[in-house]
Amino acid sequence: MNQDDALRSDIHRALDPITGSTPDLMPAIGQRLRPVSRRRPLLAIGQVAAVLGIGLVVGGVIFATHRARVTPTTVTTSPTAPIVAGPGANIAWVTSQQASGGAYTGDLITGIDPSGHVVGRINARDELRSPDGSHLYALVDGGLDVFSAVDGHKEQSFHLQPVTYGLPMLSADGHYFAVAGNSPSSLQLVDLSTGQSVASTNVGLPAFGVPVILGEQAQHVYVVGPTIAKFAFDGTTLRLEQSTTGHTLSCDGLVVGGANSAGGLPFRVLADGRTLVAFCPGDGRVTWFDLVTMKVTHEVVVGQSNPFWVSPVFSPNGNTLYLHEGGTGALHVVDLVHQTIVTSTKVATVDSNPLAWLGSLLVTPAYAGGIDRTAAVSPDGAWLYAIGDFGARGGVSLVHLPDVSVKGRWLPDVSFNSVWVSADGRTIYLLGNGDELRVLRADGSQVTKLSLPANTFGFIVPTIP
Amino acid sequence: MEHAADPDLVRDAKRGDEAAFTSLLRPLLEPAYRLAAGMLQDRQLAEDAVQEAAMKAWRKIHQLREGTQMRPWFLGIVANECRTTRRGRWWGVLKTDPDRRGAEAPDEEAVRGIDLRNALKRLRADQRVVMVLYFYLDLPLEEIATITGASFAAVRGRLYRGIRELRADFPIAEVQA
Repeated sequence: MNQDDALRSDIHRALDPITGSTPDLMPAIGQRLRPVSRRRPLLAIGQVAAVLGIGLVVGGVIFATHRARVTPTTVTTSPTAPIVAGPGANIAWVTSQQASGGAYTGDLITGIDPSGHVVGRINARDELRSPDGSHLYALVDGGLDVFSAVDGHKEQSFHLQPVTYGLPMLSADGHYFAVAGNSPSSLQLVDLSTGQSVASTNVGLPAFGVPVILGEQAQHVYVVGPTIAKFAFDGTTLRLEQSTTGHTLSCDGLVVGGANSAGGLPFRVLADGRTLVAFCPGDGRVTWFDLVTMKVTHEVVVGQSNPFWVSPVFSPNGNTLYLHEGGTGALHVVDLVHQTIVTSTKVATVDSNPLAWLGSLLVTPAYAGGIDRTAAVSPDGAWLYAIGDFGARGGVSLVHLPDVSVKGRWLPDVSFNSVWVSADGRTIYLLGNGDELRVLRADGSQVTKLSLPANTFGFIVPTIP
Repeated sequence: MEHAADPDLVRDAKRGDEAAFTSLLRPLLEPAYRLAAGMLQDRQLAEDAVQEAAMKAWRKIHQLREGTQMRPWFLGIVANECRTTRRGRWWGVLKTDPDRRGAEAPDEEAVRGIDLRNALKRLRADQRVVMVLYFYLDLPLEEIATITGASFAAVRGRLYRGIRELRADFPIAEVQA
């Protein structure tokens, strides 16, 4: 075999699993050919004219109806279609905090693919990852930068009105982006498919919260913070419809969520499209909030040693909330549909470091949102990977979720502080002490171990509202 | 080397005969799909790209000159569609093969395959299309030049540059094209 043939053979082996057998494309093509069958030009022109005429009439009616329509009082359902992985979704993106003179200056973000290769680096801050994992977003002065999760190259920049303390969020389908912030207190909405800022409004109250976008056309945007404000979007303007008062989520004024907080977002809109479930890291409370009536409908409090260090992770279908205590190895399973605590059990081994919990005495507000991600759920929802925290050895516990039982443990003599599973479930990324990253296959075998820039902080996980 | 398209079928297709067009298209779908899959590395996107290319070919078949080879003409449309797809898909939520989710961990060969696919993805589109056509569809450089609308020398240059850039990420031997 000559060198040419060797490369040809390599490329065939690499691409054949992607290509598979050629599907039968002709039926779909045939179906599509008929509506565009090429007729004689005059007939085609007549058809086009007729279609345009009908389109104008229908468009006019729709426009008139749209203009006259009263904003519906019920919430539009959130996208319930399953979110599927996009390009780059199997690549881990890890932040390393940069500082100058002791002051935080931003993040150096490193992308590592399942083979352990560094695929790109990004300098940014306030990062966010799209629900399908394909893009990273970073707020910059006066705008939003968009990076490919495949290799980290900047693809686009969007203009935004300047805002300080902005909290950004994407819609579940990735079509819309919103940022709420103070100074000025505002809410901005961007249609990412066109790159246009479609609406912005000054908010009469401090817009300190995370935007949650619901509806295929972003018909409603909620700002979820200590209070919850509901805005209606009619295609051009945002209008405040309703706002709660007081500490709706009973979280002592703490904003739950925010870009890249522990385990992604500690809240989720359930499949019914109207129930928001939030976990409060202040007191360990899980709250069900009805987005239509704007009222709390249920609460449970999970007994935890220190809920501030809990890593909340939702099941892929959003029906279950897993609360993993990195410091104790305890796992609490909350059925969000039936509003019950299913079980609480210890799954991770935590030992060898009697001073570990000293860390919990050093908590300051500056650490909010920087909680280690000590648990990750496989995309099929069958497995949870749990690790200890605070430098405790114990490796990775494999928890079989249907029966919440530990089926195995990897690298028991190694300490980790963050874990993430790739979108295809085949690769497990583990951050350990000394800015070290290990890449493991789903059978526990190690692909590689590599060093990352100093002050490695955590994974940027897809944020699913 | 590919023969010219059957002139009777081309004439009938130009008159709007769907059956004639599909007869011309049918043998081209496999190489078209392989090209799209190699370029996009996503089955669903590849299927979409080939379907879109077929629609464009149907609309443009009157541009197919007598004696023109059908395969390079259609693969050129597919290649262009792949570039458009890659440009336009940034905001789309993409589909993956559910059968591959949760599969067993990849072995060394699979990891090597991932490396090579990633290396291919990092190539410029004009280099990647040449690499895929030459190494994956096993087409001669002359036909690749027709497909890409480039000169033979330009295609050969892209091939060499593509191999050189692959080598930076992926250990391969010297290649004589």
